Amino acid sequence: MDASIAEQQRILASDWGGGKSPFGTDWAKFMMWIFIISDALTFAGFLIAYGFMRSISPSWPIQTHVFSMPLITFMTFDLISSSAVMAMAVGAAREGNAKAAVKYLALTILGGAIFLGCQVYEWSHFIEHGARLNHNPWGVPQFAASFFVITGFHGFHVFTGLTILAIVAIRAAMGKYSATSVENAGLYWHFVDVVWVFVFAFFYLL
Amino acid sequence: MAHDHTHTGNRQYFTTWLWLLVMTMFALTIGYVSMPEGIKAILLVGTTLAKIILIGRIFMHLKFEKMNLVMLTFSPLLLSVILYFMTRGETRGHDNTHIVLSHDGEVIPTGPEEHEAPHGK
Repeated sequence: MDASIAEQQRILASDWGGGKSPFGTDWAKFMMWIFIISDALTFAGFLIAYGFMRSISPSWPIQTHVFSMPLITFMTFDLISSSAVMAMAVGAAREGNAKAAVKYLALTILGGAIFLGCQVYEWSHFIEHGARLNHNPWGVPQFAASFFVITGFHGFHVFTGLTILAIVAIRAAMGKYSATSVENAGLYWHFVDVVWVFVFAFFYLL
Repeated sequence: MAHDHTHTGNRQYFTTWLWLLVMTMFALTIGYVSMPEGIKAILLVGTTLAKIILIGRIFMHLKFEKMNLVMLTFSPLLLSVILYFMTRGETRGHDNTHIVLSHDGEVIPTGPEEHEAPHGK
């Protein structure tokens, strides 16, 4: 009898025995990772489809001549900076320093809002130049379509991230937060940054 | 949790931020410098992968997580590689029989050259 209990405990203590998370995370954080992975698959689909469309197209506009690269570079700098500040917010939350966590969260939100503002500016200029979903002055319909879909989808993620961060920041200011909630919000925000790194390289530079 | 007793200080976040900026400027330079598309693509993919590994390891604390979770997070990259090779055969550079027709039915030359935009911003 003792041997069977000992065996049961040994199995439960193993990685895949059912007694603990095989991934070494709590449930909420693991679900955030699963969401991020599924979302990454969506963006992977978009970017591969973009690469394919571009590759079968007889020509493609030179992006550095179409887009304002100083603006895009600033947007990249802004998002990377907000991601770094978000990491500091997570560190502060883990240390139980709510005041610092709220301060860093507010700075992250500011960075995200600036990014979104720049994206609105970029979109409005692009539309002013005659870009639409199905046609544009540069002669390749897929060019504007892929721009609107990819950056639009990313922009929507930034907006969603800002909403989540605002809720977490308000809760942290009221003292109703946990380090895990800040960390999960941070994971999402870093993911938004990762996606932009891909968009910046493959859509704007390649 | 795997990282309960671990901590990455603000100093390391700052160093990572600096490296990310350096790599961003490097990628930007690659984008502007005239070079064969293949080399440009390899350099940009390399820089991008280096950046996401830094963000994942330091900002997202993957360096403190178990290896099975780390491998799980990189599964979309694997799918991207599969998708890329799945569609590669149909692309301009690998299918010489690929013909693009205009709306009038005329064959459009599908050379590697790219045209300039009529006007920039």
